[in-house]
Amino acid sequence: MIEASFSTASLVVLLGPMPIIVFISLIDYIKTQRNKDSSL
Amino acid sequence: MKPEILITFIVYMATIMLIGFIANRFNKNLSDYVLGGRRLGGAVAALGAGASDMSGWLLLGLPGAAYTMGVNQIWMPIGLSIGAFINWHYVAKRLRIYTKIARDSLTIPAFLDQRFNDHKRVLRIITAIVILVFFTGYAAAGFVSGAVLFQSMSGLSYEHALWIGAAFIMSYTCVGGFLAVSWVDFFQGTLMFIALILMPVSVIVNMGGWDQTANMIVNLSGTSAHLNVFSGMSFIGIVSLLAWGLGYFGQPHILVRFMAVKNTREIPKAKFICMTWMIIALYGAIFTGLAGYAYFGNEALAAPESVLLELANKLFNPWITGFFLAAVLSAVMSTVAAQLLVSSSALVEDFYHGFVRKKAGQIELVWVGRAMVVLIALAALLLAYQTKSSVLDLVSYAWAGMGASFGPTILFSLFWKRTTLTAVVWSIVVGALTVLGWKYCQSIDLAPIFQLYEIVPAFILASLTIVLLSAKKHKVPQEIQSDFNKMLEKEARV
Repeated sequence: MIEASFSTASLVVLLGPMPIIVFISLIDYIKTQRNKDSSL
Repeated sequence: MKPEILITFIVYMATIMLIGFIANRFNKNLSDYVLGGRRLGGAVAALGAGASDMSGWLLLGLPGAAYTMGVNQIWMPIGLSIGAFINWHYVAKRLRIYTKIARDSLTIPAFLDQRFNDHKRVLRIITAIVILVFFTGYAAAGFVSGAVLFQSMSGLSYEHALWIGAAFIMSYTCVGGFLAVSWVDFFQGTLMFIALILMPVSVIVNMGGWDQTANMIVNLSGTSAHLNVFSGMSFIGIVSLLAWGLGYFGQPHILVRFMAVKNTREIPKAKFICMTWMIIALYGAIFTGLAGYAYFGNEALAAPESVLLELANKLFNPWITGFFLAAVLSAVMSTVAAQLLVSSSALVEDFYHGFVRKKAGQIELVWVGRAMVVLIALAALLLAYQTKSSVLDLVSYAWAGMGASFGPTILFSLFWKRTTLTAVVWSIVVGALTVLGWKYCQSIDLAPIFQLYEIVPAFILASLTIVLLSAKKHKVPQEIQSDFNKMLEKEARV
């Protein structure tokens, strides 16, 4: 059996950009919600 | 077709028709029919944009490509995710505000017409024609892939499958308009999402966990190439796949979702939902392909694109298999319905209301809109009958064509006040011609650089055209300045 896993470079590409996009979108959404709450 | 699959499928179709009829109760004028009266909530706009964007590629093409070539297929999902994110983050809010200020424009051609104060209506005619031609072809391609799939699952003839599928899509689009399409997209997007989580998780659990699955993949290929994102990829190849994200800025069926959001405060929520949906679904599609490769082992699939459905057949009972079939058809149908509606709105608002009957009443316009949906669907059906038609070949690069010709036009019209009408007309021409010319050079293997995806040079040249032609000294008309400034003020306030 060959021990199978992703290389570090592959992991960075696979799990780097796309989760970061979700994270930025979440932060942006939370910020908007806070602004809305504070303006009420 | 097994009775359980058939029953699941009938329930699915009945649900969609019910949504169509309920949506119809809200259609009081043309704005309701083509833009849902601009009252979409964040979640509906988000899944509508996501589902109508992805088409059958998400559940058929991408898992099939990952099955055949492995995890190196991640580059296009990364490019698409970045493009979609930028579109939501920068374009959505401005477009929503500006289209409302620009005499409440209901379509992209109408917005451009107002934005540039185009008295001769050249821009409106060009953009409406391009949308009509490409989207009728696109819808035909969707009909073909839906019919082929339906034919293989049901045993019906291609013609019967084509007619049943087309009649179904046409009926709920025609009856319920934009709201029906959006609500159905929400329902379909949810099905697609569940399918793309359920399938890879089930297969990997069935294989004994991720380690066993990965070991099997490596054993089968003899190397770890299937798990290497750089395997078989050149620099030009990676750039080309990432560049697919540039196409987003010029896709009217996605842009209209931004215009239809009920207010700009919904946009961050919609962006978060859409990006989460999209990214999890894209991962699900890639891992479905990989897990399918491990599961089927040496018993190679004749049609890798059907890996999701083959897995469903092997792993689940017929009730759940019916659900997966519904999810795949959802992916195809959501795109076709959105394209039929955008084409119909171009005909009714930009031609009929714009030129033929300027004083037409709202009820008349809604009915003409319905008639146009039927007309365009019939035209797409005729095209779909001739699957070898060159029109279908043409739409294979419509994403690049529309992205490169409309994309820079939309971006500059929203972000640069000095952009001129002449510049955007030439930019559309340059973008479209570069795509065609580049594609031709690629086909005759002129030089290695032509392996680059045509959207890259076309987008750059179209943008340069706008910059060069708009840069020379000119006075921006007062009306355009006033609208642009109003848009900026409103954007700063919300």
